[in-house]
Amino acid sequence: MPPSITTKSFIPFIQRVAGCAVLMGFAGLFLTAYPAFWGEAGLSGYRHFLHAGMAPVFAVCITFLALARAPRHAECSSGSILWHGCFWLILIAAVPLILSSVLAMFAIYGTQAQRLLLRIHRGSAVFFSAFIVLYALLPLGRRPGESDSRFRVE
Amino acid sequence: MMKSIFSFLFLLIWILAAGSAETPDEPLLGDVSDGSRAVPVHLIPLLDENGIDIAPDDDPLLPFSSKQTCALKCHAYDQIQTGWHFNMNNPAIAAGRPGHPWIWMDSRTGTQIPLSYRSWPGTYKPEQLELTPWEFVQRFGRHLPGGGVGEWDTKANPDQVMRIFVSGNLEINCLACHDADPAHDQAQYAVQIAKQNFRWAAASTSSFALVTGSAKDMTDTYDYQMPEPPSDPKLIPPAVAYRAGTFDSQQKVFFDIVRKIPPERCYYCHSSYLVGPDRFGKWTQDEDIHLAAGLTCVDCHRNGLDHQITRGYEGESETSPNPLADELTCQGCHLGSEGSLQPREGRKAAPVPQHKGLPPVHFERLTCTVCHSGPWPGDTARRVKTSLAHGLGMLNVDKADGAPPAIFTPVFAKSAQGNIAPHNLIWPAFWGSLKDAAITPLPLRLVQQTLPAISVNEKTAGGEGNRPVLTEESIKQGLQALAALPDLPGKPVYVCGGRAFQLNGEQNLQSMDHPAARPYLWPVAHDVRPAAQSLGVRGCEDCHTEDSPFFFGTVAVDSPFAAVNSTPYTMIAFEGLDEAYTRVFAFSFRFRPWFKIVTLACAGILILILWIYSARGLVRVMDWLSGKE
Repeated sequence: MPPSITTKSFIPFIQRVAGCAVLMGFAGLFLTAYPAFWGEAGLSGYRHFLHAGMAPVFAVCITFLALARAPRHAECSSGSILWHGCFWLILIAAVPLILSSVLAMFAIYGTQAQRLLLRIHRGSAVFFSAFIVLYALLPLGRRPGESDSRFRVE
Repeated sequence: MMKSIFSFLFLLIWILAAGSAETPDEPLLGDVSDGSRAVPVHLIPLLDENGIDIAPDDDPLLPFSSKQTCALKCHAYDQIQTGWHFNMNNPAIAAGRPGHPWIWMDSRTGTQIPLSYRSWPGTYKPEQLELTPWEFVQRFGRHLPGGGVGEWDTKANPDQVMRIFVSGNLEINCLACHDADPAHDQAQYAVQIAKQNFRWAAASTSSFALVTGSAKDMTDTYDYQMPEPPSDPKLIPPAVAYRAGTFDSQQKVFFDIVRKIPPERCYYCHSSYLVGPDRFGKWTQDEDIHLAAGLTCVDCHRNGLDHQITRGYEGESETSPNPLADELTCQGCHLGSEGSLQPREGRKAAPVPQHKGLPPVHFERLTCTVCHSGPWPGDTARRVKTSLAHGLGMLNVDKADGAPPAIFTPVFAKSAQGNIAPHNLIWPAFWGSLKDAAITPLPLRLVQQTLPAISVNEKTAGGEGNRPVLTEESIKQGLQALAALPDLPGKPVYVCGGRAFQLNGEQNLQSMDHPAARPYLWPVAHDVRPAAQSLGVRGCEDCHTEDSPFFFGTVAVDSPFAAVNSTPYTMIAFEGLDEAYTRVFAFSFRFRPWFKIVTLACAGILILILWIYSARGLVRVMDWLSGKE
């Protein structure tokens, strides 16, 4: 590591990059999945391709942020309880969201279970989306003059 | 002269009698079941076509009529003849899913055109080519079960009124399906058709009747009831002889009639045979898994008295009056039907598949037959010979692998229902006229008369089979000859190999794409392979690779004009899919293992984080409860 970049400054930088990637990935996944959300059929075509292509990157970023931010959110030392709660709810929703997509690729579940997995994927995506939007918007709603550090996780 | 008058009077009485016949109000003896599953013994008198009993010492001895023998007192012929096997010329019957066409071949003119009386897109009605029912039966009656067009409409056959009296009707041959006698010989039927012995055709297939002679050789005034020796002693009038011991003491004859028709009866018309260098004969090819499991064709393809047999495809119930049309399908037996009051799946011990790991989207995009039916797809679609197209089972049939017409299978193509299904494919080849952007085939008779000197070479038999070969020059000659006709409705074209050819201003051949040149495809469902040999059993890569036969296998072009045969089509051209996307998507499957590893690892880490912090939270709760905090 170059001497000018310390671990203390590098980690927050990576966190910000991962945070941006999560938001962008979320937007991408949402946009590609939304048109097929209401139908019985799954995604198809290029939208499916983009959705499936972005998903693992998104999962890695979410996992990285979870690893990096979990201690702070566990302490609830600063920030609103709602914000911290959103973080944990995001993680809780992410598990079925990820597992329902990847387990369908193994020869484990039959047709009915596959359809159930699709419904779980959609359902958990709804909750995941709600929590991640809330988590991203809550810091913007701080009172004037309030320190940014309230929502900073280091 | 007297003979002609007598013939005319008899014909008049016959027509009047037929016209006055009414559908019986009361069900006939054999049409109402008492519920017994035992097979009724058919020890019955033989009746001739006028409903008169036949005795072994009759002179002349007449052939029994299946219509009269089976239907006069026991079975309602009027209802039976509405069945799928007999109703092809009834315009009121819905065409249903496209099926195997009749393929009219004429090697001298390089013609290979799919025909059907049913309105299947891509086929032509015989009358469009000025083919009368009489001519149609002459050509294709070899594999007709009788009835339908074979029960002559004199308006449709104005030139054959006298010949109809000589040869008789081609009645429904009940024995073609229901005769379980191992000595039943359906190949005799084709022999009698060729000799125009229509009246004798059904009897000839039975084990106890021997038919000789040829009605075709008789004069228009020949009277089969009072036959006189023909003037030429070499000509033999049609006659039948019954095997000694056929009649019992009451002049009755035993027919081994079954409801549960043996597959061998169906096979006469519905055999298919894969050919190619890696095929070593029929003995190397397995039957349909349903037959291997002990079922018969009629376990799935069922009908009642009206003989509206189920064809077995999904959606058939929309047009079929058969009450089981919705149930006797792949899904009906193996998956049941949603919303049914009682379980339907598992019929006849049909295994209920789990389809583990198969995304449900496959059930929306593909028919069951894609993965389960036909030969395992190879790099190129195979050649297949069929009974209807190649006359399998007939005497003296061309056994060469390359015998025309060339039918390719399996071709995965988008069906009319919008999903992909395995099909058989044939490339039409015919001379037509182009008018207002539409191509209509010219009557073959006109083409044959107009192109007497066209140079068609035929490859010799011995592996390749006899097949026509047209050159650019011969096509030009043909088009020029047709253009010279005074009343041709449009510009002459020759269609072959997926292209239409016409002459440009410089009298050179000009090729164009045209819907009429597109291949005719019909879905296939047999032979069904075992589940362990279904596509996808080895994983997604059975189909989702950059060179998988399902998407990127090739379909050869076969036509008399060699120049268009060099470029095969890729399967995806028939599937209605985006080739670039399909290739990229297939390529992405290389990374699928990594996708699984990465996402599973992420999910695992997230679960661990949640577990660790849940445990820590629990510890805090315990500390708080114990008063430590």
